[in-house]
Amino acid sequence: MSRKRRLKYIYPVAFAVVPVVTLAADHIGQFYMSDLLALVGVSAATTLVAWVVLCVLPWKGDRFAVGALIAFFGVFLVFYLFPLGEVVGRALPGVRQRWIVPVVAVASLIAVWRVVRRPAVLEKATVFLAVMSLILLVQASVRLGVGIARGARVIERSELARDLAQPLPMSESGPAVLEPQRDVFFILLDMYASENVLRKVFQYDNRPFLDSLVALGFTVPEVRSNYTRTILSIASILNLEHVDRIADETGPRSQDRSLGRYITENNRTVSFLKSRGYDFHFYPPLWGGLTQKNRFADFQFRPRRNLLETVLAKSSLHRRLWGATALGQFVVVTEDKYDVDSVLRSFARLRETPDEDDPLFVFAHFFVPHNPYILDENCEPAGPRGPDEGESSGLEQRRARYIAQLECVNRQVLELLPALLARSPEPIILLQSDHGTRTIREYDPAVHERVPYAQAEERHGALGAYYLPGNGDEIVPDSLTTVNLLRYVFSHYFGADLPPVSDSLFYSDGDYEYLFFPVEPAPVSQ
Amino acid sequence: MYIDPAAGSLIMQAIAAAALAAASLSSRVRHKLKSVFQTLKSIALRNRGQ
Repeated sequence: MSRKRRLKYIYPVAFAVVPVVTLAADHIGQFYMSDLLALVGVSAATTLVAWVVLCVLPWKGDRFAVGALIAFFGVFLVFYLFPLGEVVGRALPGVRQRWIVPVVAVASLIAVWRVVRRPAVLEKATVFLAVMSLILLVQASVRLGVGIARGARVIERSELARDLAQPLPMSESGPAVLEPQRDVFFILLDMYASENVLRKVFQYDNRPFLDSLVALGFTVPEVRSNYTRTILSIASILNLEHVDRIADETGPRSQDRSLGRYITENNRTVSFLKSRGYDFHFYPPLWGGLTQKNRFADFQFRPRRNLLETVLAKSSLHRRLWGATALGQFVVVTEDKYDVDSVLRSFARLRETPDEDDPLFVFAHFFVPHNPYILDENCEPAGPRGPDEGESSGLEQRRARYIAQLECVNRQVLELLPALLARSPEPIILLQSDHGTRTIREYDPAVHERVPYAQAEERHGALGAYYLPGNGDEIVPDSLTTVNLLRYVFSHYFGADLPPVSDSLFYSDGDYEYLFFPVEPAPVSQ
Repeated sequence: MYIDPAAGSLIMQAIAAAALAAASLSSRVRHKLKSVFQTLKSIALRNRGQ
């Protein structure tokens, strides 16, 4: 058989690549090209090896066609069966979902067995699947290409990005106090709820931890995040400006995060401090897809140690693929140990931040106490995963695991602070969360006109604790929203002319990060 | 279980691809496409002759 004729038999490889490309096309701006290529490579190579092995087995008849069909069946089970079960389940709400997947699997197996036994049908099936795989691959690749190009165009045309590229205005009178150039440590603890939320929603008293911070000289005001999603919250904090215009520029129902990621990476904080001689040290989380790389960093912590970890410690795209397909159902979770390791190593490396000639701006984004709950209260691996965040059951277990992870974070922070406070001159330390927790889920846009106040209060209630030497604590009010934090800091320490902006809150949830929902007004008693 | 919204688009894409593949392999469709192209070709030739 000629090579050209044999080419049609490698359609299982195309079928294996398509889910990865489709997932990327549906999540523009939420992955890095290196992660996409790695996943495509692993997926294609694994299928190719399986296909080669199956083709050399002594099947009756056309062994290439039989090997290809069986390899395709494997790809179907891994990548397509669960999404198909989900779609059928949605279309037939009366049918029990847990039966759909096994029924479809058995029906497909019978179909494959019958086709393999009929050479004429097998030949037709091979041609059909080869053509279908080609169409699928072209479709998915075009969608991905168009999505990437559209994301780049949104950035290019963005007035928000242009406005944020302007230098920060400076006060003519200069800084309020003449200060030495202090190191600035910005430690972002993702989804760390405020004291109020922890007490009301979790019945947890975080006062001992906050009192320890106060004893070290921290000021702990009441803080609310202006946004409820990480990308918007970090973008607004680091740009010292509201970023709600992103909804108009990208589209409120768009899944494209290109612009959000762009203004996060090209933020005003880094450009402002670098223009003042600061070195930028960046500690990204292991995954998250939004703040994992920054080309302006003078030092970037590597959460993955080597090539093996790069493959095994999953990227955001990798986790989405795992979650949407059979891989997440049957393959043991491997990423937790890498998550644990990267969190603890990041804290350890921060403790040992070397003294340098130039002042430092250190931005560390910890994806804890955000789920998945990988650490217990003693910062040991938390063991097997509990119920997933998206599930309605297991709320109590999730809350307990969240608190355990939060206690580990408290422990790590309290171990870190003495090392940072020993630096000379004393540094500015900002412990900040990007948003609160999300356990109250009463809002249904189809039923309610507004998000219940309690749900929004939980989601906006964020930790904020600041060490501001040289009387800096006097400039921070008792209550603030996150967008104004660096406005206060830069005005006081660097002479920027940045009066506070509006404390408006923007609530978004679910798949549409840029779709803001109206919130019920606070009860009168609040 | 968490199902990514992309799961739905993967299946819809696969259904569309299957329909297109079936159509392109159907002898009736192939025949019709062939006759359309032949008609277009003959019109072009006639126009060139004029």
